[in-house]
Amino acid sequence: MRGEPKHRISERALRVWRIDGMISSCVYWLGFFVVLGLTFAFHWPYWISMVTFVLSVFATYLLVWLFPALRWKRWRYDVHEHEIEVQHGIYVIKRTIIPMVRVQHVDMKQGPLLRKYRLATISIWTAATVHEIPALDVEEAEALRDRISVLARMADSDE
Amino acid sequence: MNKPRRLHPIASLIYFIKMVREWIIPFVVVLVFGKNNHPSFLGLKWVGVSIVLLMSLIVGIASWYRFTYRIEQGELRIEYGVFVRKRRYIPQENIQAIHISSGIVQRLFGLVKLQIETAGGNQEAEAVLTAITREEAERLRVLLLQDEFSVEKESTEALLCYKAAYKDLLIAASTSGRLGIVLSAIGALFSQFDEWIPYEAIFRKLRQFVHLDAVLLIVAAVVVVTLAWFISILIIVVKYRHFTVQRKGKDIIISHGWLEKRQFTIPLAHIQAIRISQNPVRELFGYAAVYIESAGSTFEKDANYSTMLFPLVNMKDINERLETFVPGYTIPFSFISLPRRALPRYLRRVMLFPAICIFIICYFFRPWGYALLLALLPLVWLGYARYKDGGWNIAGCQLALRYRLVTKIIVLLEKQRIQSLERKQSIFQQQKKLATVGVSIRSGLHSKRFSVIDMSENDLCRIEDWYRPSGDIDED
Repeated sequence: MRGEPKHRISERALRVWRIDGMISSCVYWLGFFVVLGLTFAFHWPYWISMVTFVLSVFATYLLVWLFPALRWKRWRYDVHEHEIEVQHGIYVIKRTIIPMVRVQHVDMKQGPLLRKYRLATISIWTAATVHEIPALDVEEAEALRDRISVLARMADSDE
Repeated sequence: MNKPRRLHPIASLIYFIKMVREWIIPFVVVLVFGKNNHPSFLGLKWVGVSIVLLMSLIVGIASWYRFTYRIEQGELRIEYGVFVRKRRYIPQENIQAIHISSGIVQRLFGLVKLQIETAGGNQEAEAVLTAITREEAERLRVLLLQDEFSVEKESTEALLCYKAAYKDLLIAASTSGRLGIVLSAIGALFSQFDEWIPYEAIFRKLRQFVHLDAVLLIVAAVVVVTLAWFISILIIVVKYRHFTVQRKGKDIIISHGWLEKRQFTIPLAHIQAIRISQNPVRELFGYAAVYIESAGSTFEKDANYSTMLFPLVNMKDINERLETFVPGYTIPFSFISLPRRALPRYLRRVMLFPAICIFIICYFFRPWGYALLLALLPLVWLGYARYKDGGWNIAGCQLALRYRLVTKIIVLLEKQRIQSLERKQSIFQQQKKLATVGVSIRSGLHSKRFSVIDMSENDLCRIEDWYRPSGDIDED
């Protein structure tokens, strides 16, 4: 048995995820303000808006602090000569082994937010599945992409 | 073989019928439901219909005329299209499988339809030769699927053949578990026609004979269920009549069908996994159905994108059968079962939610609600059976997984067909040193995942070590 993979993704991922979390938590706050407005307009009991407020605060805590931190802590990967190993998850931890021979191609992509932080996501395609390594440093991602595609080609010719 | 060939002229008729079929609904809407029945307008409508029919006929013939195919430089080259000319060149090595089938028109003229399935992915990549003679189809099949070995082998190797006995087919059909599907279909159908069928009147009439509503309802239910059962048997018999499996060299050829005969050729190399499935009824009698999970099977689409290999086999003969038709796949003699500590989790998963519901109902409907507690018994059985049937085994290059939802399933996978292997572990599983294994394979154009929940962490490590190409240590 082997321990978990060693490489972590970029620490800047944390910031990106936090921003993502803030954007998502806006939905909860929107809900809260709607409820607040309705409470004033129709004289609803105050506990309803209290509950929505607490929920929004809690959701913001989860989305902006806890989940990104946990996700970053769990995210690990290793690229060996013959296989790639990826581990991620918040509550359920998933660890996947992808043999190099099974890799069909590798993609790199960047959203606007990732670009701002000089990060990129790598997608590894097999005939059946796609595996993503999110938020790697751009140079690292490029190097990794090239390395995987070279290794995959080598593994292919071996077989 | 460089000369372009055309399909059989009957193809134009088939194109025509296909086009007309698309027009039927607008026709019916215009002709039947068009309220304006002024004589002159009626005449106009018929003129319109004839023009459409004539156009379809011309286009049908033109499509046939324009459609040519040839094999050139190791490619199947098809050119077609009436208004926009299209060319489709399919390299021989991209051809995944060839299916031969015949619909009613083709059968009338002794022709077949040949479908070519490619590795390209999207539906567009496939090619269909609508009507060609059987000999031509056979010739193309041999030409297109030939690779280094199969040609010579084909001539020397004896043809291995299995025909499903009629009795087996009937047993398979009557234990298929399609009853539910047919029942819901019947329900949907009846609810569509309730405006025209006077259910209430029928019910009232019947009441004159039977006085107890409950008895009437039970009788009605029994009648409907039996009827549905017979229909489901009929559907399966019609579909799978004359079920034959042949192995020619490196190909498996499956054919079946009563009204519409279908034939599928699956190269052994495209098999991704073998799935053996036993629903509880079949399990009771020791029977199972065997399916092939193959890459790029877009034609034989059953609900699971898999192809039936044997509709019904006795579990005792199954390995012999597999050895003959899909060599290399064997059901292991024994499975390594799940650790005892997984049992509570299995029971909880099945029972937790129903149990809460039942307790609530019990509380509100005392004392009769307690009878519902009996409903927990089958759930206990199911949870226990799922735990007991979960298991795995590794023999050489083959991983066997066994699990149950309601139907017991054994999947046989070759290491090189597994695209990725996943270990899933929640915090609770971690505490108990349990983990869920998931393997992904290609199936059809997509993927399929098989998993066994809550196996022991150490066992999963053994599977991982078996799966890793690098063996044990591979430092960066």
